[in-house]
Amino acid sequence: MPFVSQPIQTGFQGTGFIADFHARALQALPDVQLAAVCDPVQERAERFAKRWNVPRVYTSVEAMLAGSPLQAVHVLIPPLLHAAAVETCLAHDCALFVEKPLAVTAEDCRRLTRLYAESGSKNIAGVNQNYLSQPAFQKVVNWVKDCRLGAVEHVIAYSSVPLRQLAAGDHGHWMFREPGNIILEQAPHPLSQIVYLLGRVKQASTLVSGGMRLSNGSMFHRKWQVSLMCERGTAQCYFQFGAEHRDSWVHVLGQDAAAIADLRRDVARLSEKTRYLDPVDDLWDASSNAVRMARQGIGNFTQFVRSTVQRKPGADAFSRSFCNSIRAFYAARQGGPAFPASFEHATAVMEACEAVIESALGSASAADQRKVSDYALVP
Amino acid sequence: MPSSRKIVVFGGTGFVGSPLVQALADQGASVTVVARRNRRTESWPSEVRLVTGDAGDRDLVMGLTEGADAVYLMTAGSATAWEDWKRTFVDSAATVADCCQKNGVRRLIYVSSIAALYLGDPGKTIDETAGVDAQSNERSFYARAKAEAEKLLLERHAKQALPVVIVRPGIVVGPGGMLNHSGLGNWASDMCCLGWGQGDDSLPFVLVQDVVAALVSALETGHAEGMAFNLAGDCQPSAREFFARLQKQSGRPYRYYPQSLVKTQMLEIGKWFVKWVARRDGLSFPSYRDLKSRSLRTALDCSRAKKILGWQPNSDPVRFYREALEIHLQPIPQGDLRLANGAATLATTS
Repeated sequence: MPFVSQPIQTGFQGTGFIADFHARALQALPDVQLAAVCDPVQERAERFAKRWNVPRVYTSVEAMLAGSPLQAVHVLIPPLLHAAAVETCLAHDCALFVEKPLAVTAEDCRRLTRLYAESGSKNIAGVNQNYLSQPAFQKVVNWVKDCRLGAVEHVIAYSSVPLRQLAAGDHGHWMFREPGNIILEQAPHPLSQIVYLLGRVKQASTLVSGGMRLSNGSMFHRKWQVSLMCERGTAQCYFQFGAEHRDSWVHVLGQDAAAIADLRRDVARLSEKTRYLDPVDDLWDASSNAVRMARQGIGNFTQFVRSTVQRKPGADAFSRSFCNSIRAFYAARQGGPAFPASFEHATAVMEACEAVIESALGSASAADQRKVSDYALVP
Repeated sequence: MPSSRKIVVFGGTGFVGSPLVQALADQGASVTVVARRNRRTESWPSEVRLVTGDAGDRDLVMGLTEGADAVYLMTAGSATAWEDWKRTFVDSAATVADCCQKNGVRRLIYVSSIAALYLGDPGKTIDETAGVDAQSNERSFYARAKAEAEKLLLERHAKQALPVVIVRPGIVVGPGGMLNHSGLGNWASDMCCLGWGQGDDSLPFVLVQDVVAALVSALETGHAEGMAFNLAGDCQPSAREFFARLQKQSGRPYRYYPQSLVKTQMLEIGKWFVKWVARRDGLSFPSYRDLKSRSLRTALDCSRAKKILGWQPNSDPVRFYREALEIHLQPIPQGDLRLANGAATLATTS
């Protein structure tokens, strides 16, 4: 009788907005079956289960873990609840995939990382830092791994993000509650990439500008210029929150070549030295990258058209990064390449966020006191 | 070696000269180094005397060789016109030879190069009794200058009993040297090397410390006068093998492009033509004989050096790659993504 492997039984803790992305990603993995979900709001859980054809529904993670023989759990609840949920799941024999952030403070992240290490669990535990799996960034990472750039010496990340709530004057969201929250909300994406390429952040220096007083009384800084000293190199980030133009780039400067990932358009380019004289070299670089980027652009467009015709959402770069991240997690669980967004990595990302906030708000607070009347008061 | 020996080293601040001076000083010799640039090696003992000057300066050379027991002539340089090459290599050799003879110097050791030989015949082996390239006037100015200096010194030995010993190191590698050696190919940039041919033939690498050992032996060994010794080590990877190792261990995109000699020659002629049209001074038509010789496809026989000088070059590939290659590379820190593919193996716990 031929051996038939059973699909991995997976459960979701939380059935909110992000759970649909996870469920969609799992549909592409025939070896994984979404077997159970839990949510304290039973009605929401049941609607989700019906939508994704999930056989079992629970109202607590304890009940789900006790009632279903799960081999993996996705933690998809609000970030403030992550630490407790991860602790609960670590006590069970299952792989653990946590939606970012791992926890809301670096101290909690370090504690969870330590708990996981001390548990001696052979199950993998990872965090959905999906920007590590963004296709254009993956291309750059593969070039780095293939030694095309030599040692990565410096990374420049640029992120210009429109904020619908800010424009609409809806300042009730958590990210507007404290001046540093916007970094915890938006910066983990580029910082996860920087930490992955250069190691932990050892020192941060930040300048903030574009300050405004929100209707909730909190300060909000629209522009953050960050310089970072990391274990294996240096980095700069520029964040513009509430921008009208959405853009996001990562520029990786290596010892021997440079690569750029345009995360918004999902294309990547590589400039490396050839055997030719500089003028020919420059011509080759321009033309080869033009071809490379045109191919990627055409590929992305084709994928969009195909998914639109087939009515299958998820052709955009963000959705693909989600799918790639989840696929990489399950591949690692099956003995494939190590999953990059480990608990250690997630901890380093949170430490980087805190270093940025701390380095900025020292000066920002002082500026706040000095020039508070200069800030626009947003109604 | 008696510690009271006075030794003069012309060109002792270079890649080979510096460790040679160190070795001589360590053995108690009184060493005077003559170099065009005043560049003292830090590890030399303070007793080493450094004189700024040129081996072609007769008065200087005469003064310095007075009372000297031995002289090493290992000057280097480059020029555009043949007259300048001749002055730097051939005329200075004649000057030093004259002064050595007049001052009764007991041994003159001339550090030549395998460029003086013709090494463009695949499948053949050249031993140390074979002379320099008989058609050296068809070669590059460097090869021609080295060949003519050798001929001049051996002629003085034959006619005037000049106590000269000639040593011809192969592709010298090791600490203080450089990775992008022209023996491997024509380096288009720091990372890209165009091969002299297909790059499959063994190359006559030699570690700098082995060259130093041979040079010290050449000072001591009797019955070596009037002889030339080839120095190629016993680890002789091909250019392709060397690059494969370099790429793997450096984690950097070093690239080796095999290129046929005919293609290289055509490109050289093209460059020459452009320069000729631009009326560039000091142009000489590219020598195909020189190009063939650069491919180093003729094997070097070093048995005379081993027998007479008692020379025992390194035969351990681990040591060879450590000194020829790894010493020039930056260690790859742990966590570096280049280690993920197993492409690099020099990981350290920095």
